[in-house]
Amino acid sequence: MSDRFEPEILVLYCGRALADHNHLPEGTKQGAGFKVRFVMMPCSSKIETRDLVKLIEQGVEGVLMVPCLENKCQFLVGNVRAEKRMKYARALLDEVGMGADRLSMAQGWNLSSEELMALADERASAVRPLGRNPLKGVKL
Amino acid sequence: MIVAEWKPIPEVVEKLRGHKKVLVVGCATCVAECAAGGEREVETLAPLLRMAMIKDSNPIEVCTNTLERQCEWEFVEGLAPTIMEVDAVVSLACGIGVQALAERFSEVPIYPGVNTTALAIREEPGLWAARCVACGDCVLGETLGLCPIARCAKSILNGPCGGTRDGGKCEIDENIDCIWHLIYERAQARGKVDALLEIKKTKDWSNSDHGGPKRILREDLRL
Repeated sequence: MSDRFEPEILVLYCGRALADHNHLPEGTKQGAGFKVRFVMMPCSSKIETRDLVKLIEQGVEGVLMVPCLENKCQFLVGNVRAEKRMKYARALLDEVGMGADRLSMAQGWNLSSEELMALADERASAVRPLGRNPLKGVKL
Repeated sequence: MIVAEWKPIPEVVEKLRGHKKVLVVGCATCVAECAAGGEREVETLAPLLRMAMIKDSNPIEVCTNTLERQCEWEFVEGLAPTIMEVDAVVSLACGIGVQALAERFSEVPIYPGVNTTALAIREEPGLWAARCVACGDCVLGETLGLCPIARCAKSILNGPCGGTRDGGKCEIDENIDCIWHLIYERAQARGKVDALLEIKKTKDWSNSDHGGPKRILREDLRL
């Protein structure tokens, strides 16, 4: 049995970043060498700094936030807020030695579910060198 | 409001070495308004501390609470049952709140998680600027509501100094207004420029912290 490290990736995406809501993957999916869970957000600004930090604390190896394009936000500046929170949360994770690269962001618009999966694949590749999340499985 | 900023997390982590169960306490008043010590910040710092301590091979249990006000005994008392179960506290309140906890619960180490920095106003989202230094001898009535004590780098009463930049900015920072420039502009708008020519007397600093620790006694409010 292989014990190859398969990072667990969480993709938080703005509902407007995808082209067709009917073809979204639900639940945890198995990618090529990673596991991924997709969570649709009504707006990426719904995610606060504390949420991003807690996700890493709970053992997720990598988080990818996919807001819509900057001038497409239905709340005008929701994706701009999300980007600033992401930047702040990355700095906090760096400060405690967890590595900023566990959090990342990629704007999207009119994406297919396959393209979203490809973004998750990229994220998994970026996170793999960081290794397992040391918080994974830790009882808090 | 009283404004504070997070201490560097490694500084807090250093204090927590050797402790097993820690309570992070916020305050829902001033430090919540300046996004340093309210419930949001408590719930952000707690997981960060857990992660930092695990990385440090010194895992700790971290629980959280946010009081309505950490500077009022009635609210502080609410922590009594929880305090008995922890061996250290990190307070995200201003220095007043930290001291209130330390006074009420003197048997438990209380560590500040923030540096209290100013009495300030929120100028715009994410930007706070000092407006008062609690000098104890308010001059705002003579300076058209603009404080030269808090907002002039030299706290001069007869300004401006010779260092005002073009555009009315302070010589120490191009992003800070020269307060005497603003006072002059306001005086001009009100037709009161002549009043600025009057030399202001030396300020009485005895009612500020220069006069020693401050106590305010109101007999009418005491029993």
